[in-house]
Amino acid sequence: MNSPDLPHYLACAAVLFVLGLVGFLARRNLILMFLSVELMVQGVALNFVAFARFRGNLDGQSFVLFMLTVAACEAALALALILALYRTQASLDVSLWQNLREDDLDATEDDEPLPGMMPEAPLPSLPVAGIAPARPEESNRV
Amino acid sequence: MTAGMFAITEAGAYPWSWWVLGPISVGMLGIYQLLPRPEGTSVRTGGFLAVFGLAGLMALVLGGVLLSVETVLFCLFSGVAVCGAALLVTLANPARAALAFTVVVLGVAGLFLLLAAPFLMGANIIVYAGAIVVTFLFVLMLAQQHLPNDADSRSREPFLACLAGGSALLLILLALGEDAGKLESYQEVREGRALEATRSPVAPVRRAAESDLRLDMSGVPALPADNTAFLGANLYGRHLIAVELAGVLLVVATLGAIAVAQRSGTGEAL
Repeated sequence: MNSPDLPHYLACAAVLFVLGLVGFLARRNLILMFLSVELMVQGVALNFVAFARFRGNLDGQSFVLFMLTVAACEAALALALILALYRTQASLDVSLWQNLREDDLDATEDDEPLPGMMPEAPLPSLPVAGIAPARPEESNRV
Repeated sequence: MTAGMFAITEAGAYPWSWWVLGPISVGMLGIYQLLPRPEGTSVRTGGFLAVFGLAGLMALVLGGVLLSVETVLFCLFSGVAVCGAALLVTLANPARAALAFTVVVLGVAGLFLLLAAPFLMGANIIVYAGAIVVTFLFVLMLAQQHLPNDADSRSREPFLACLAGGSALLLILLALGEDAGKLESYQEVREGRALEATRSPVAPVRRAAESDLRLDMSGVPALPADNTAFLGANLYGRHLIAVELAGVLLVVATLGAIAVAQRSGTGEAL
């Protein structure tokens, strides 16, 4: 073989697809999850074009054009939805929508504090100066 | 490099396939190290592991391919695309991740060019890098959050995600290696039906195409050199209804996006 062949392109597409999969599963920003999906779409488009090349058939390239169309529609709709979600929660964190999960799943709780955002120590509660705090009545008066 | 996992040997045995487990696990370990988390990421260890895994995977996949201009370009473009993808997945700042996606698009566009699809290369760059990424950046500017925040500085189950990704990649590559091993079926794909490229209801195009039928140096059916014209004939000849439907889809998606993004209470303004 003196040039990369069909499986090499398919392997490259598989790596792109899998990285998109990891990003979609692991990231919590709605926009980044969507970008990961676009990454998977790029991998699939590479598959189509590679098959078109090595089968000598232009249908794969035509299909990728339709994929571009659908990706553009998808981006417009998804960004509109993300904006609508952002307006209600003022955050892009997908975990804020976890009340949509199945009944038998546990809620995600963030235990570790973010760096630079340590939880503040609770303020000491003092009685207002000059006013005697209310005390329970004692039974025995001296 | 004499034997890679896709190199065709006389014996028909492919002992290299399972070796791919090594670079995949190293690379996924690197991605796992690089994924954002509140206690901070070890960029040096993770980056080293990820690059090491990518290099190992490339060596294993490309083993047996002679060094030629096309091989070098393939390594360059696929390396750029995969590195951009890794950055997209691991960068905490979403604006930088969107720019990393542009790098992925450019790498994939280079691969399209190697695959004799210059029109798709241009369309990919214009639509993705030119339109989609810019829209993403607009939305990011609208919904900007300061780092660190919950959305960007935490990952959801990074280990399980990397495990799932690594297993998927391993299975895909093993299946590819297995398939490349079956010489007959592979040969069938390579010989292909070059005639299909020219099946077009447009008569002049068909006549021109039949004179174009040939195999290139590696025995792969050559696509017509005039990519855009033939793609257009294919698109508007065989897929005319699909083109019309795609137009309808675009209109519906535009209207839908406007309707969804409207602020509540101003619904009468449309």
